[in-house]
Amino acid sequence: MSIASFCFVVTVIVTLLITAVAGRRGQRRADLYAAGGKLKGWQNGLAITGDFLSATTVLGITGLYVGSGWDTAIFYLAPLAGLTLMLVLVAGPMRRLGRYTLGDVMTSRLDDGRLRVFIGVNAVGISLAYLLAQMVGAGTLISLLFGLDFTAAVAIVGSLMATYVAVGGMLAATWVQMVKAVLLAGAVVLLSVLALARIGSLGSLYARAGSASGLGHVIVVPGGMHLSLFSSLSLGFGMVLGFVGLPHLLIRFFTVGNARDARRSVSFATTLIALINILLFVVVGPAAVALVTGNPHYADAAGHLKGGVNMATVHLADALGGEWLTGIVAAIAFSTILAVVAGLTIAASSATAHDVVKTLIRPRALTENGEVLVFRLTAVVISLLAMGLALVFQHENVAFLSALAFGIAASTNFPLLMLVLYWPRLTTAGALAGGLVGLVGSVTLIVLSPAVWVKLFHFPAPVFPSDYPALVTAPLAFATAVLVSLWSANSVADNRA
Amino acid sequence: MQSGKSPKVGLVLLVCVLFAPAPLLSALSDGAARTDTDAVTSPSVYTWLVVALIVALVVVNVWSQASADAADQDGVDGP
Repeated sequence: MSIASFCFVVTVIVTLLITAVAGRRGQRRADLYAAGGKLKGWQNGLAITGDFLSATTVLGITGLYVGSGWDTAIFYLAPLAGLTLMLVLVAGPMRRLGRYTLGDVMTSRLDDGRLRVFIGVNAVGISLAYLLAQMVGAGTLISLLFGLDFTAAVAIVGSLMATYVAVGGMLAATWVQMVKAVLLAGAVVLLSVLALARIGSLGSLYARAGSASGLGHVIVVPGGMHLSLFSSLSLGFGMVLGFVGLPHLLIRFFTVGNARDARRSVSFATTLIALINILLFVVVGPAAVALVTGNPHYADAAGHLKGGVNMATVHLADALGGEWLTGIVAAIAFSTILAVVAGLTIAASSATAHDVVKTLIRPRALTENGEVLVFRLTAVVISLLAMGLALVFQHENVAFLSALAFGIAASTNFPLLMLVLYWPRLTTAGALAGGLVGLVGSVTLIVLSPAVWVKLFHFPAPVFPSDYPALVTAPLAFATAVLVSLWSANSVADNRA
Repeated sequence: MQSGKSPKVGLVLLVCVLFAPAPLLSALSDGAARTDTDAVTSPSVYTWLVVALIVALVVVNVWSQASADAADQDGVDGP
C-alpha cells in the first residue's frame, strides 16, 4: 500500500469514527441541523475556516497563481471582505432571528409560505450547483491523487457524504471541518517553512520563481489575468456578495448559542484565514512556481504540469517532502472535499425538510421525527443525485457551476437578507419579485457568459462579458424588491381606503 | 431604524475601499508587458499591498466584533 493510499484510508476511518460519536451525541432536529446550537465561538470559527478553505482555495487558487501570479489576490481578499460584511451586517441578526435555516430568518418578519418555499428551493439549487462542481472536481482530483477510477472516486465521496449527514448531521460535519481546518493550516505553514528553508530567503524564492517560468514580472505585478474593468469588478463584487449569500455558510450561525458567539466565530475565522491566505499568496504560490513549474519531473510529454495546474500544491509537497508529505497533503485535500460537500448537503437537506416539505404539507402535519426522517432521506437522495450528475458531467467544463452558485446567492439571498434585516417596508410581494428577478437574471447572464456560452456551447464570443453577473443582477434584484414593495404597499393602502 | 445603522454603513464602505484595489489594479495594469524587460528579485510593493489589505480587513473585522459586542449590551445591534 502506498503512503498516499494509507493516508486516504486513515482519513476515511477517522471521519467515520467522528460521525459515529457525533451520531451518539444527538439525533434531534436541533442536533442534526445546527449541532444543538451549543458550539463555542472559536469552534464555529474553526468550522467556518474549514468551509472557506475548500480544495478550490488551496489547490485551485495556487494552481491559478502558477498561471496568473499576482492577480489571484482577488481570490485571497474576497473571502475576508465577505466575512467582514457577514460580521457587520448578518451574523448577529441571523442568530437572533433564525433557528435552523435561512427560511426562518427570511420569514421572521414576512410570515408567508410562498416566500419560505422560494427561499428553500433557492437554497437547494445553490447548494446543488456548488455540490456538483465540487463532486466533479473531487472525482478528478481523487483519481489523480490516489489512482482511483473516476466513478469509484465519486461513489466513495458521495457515500461518505450521505453517511456523515444522515448519521452525524451538523455536529459530525462541524467536527470534520474543525479537524480539517487545523490540519490544513498546519500543512500550509509546513509547506511555507520548508520552501523558505530549501531556497534560503524570500528574495531568492521570488528570483527563482521569476526565472523558472514564463511568468516573469506577473508574479509580483497586477495584470496577468488580462481582465477588463467590468469583468474584474464583476468578479470581485460577485465573489464578495456570493460569500455572504451562500446558505451552507449562513446556517453556521445557528450552531452557536447567541449573537455574540456568532460574531466571535466570524472574527476567529477571519484571523485564521488571513494568516493562511498571506502564506499561500506570499510563499506557497511563488514556491510552486519556483520548484514545480518548468521542472521536467512534474511535466507531461506536452510540457504541461502533470494532472493540470490544480496539482501544483501536491507536486510542491513532493518537491519539498517527498512521498510522505505528498500523502499527507493529498489526504488533507481529500478531507477538505468531504467536509465541504457534507456542509452543502446539510444546507440542501435542512432547507428541503424544514422550508419546502414542511410548508407544503402543512406545518402541523409533520412532526419533528417526521422532519428528521425527511432530512435524512433528502441527504441520501441529494448524494445519489450529485453522484449521478457528476458522472454525466465528468467530461464537461463545470467551472460555470461555482459561478452559478455565487451568482444566484449574490443576486437572491444577499438582497433579500439585507432588505429583510434593514428595510421595514419590504413586503412579501416585493421579496418574491426581487428574488425571482435575481434568480432568472443571474441564470440567464451566466448562460450567456464566457464559461457557458463559449466554453460549453462553443460560440466564438460571449454575449455577457463576465462569468459573475452579480454586478448587474444584485442591484436589479434590490431595485425590483423595493419598487414592488412600495407599489404593493400603496395598493393595500388604496384598497383599505 | 436602529442606532447602530450609521457605523454599519461606514464599515461597509471601509470594506469596499479595502477590497477595491485588487480588482482595480488587476484591470488597470498590464503586468505581462513587463515580463521580458524586468527581472524579479523580491516581492514587490504590490505584494506587500495585498498583505497590508489583508491585515487591514482583519483589524476592521476584529474592531467591528468588539464594538458590536459592546453595543449589544445595550441591545442596539441588529434590526
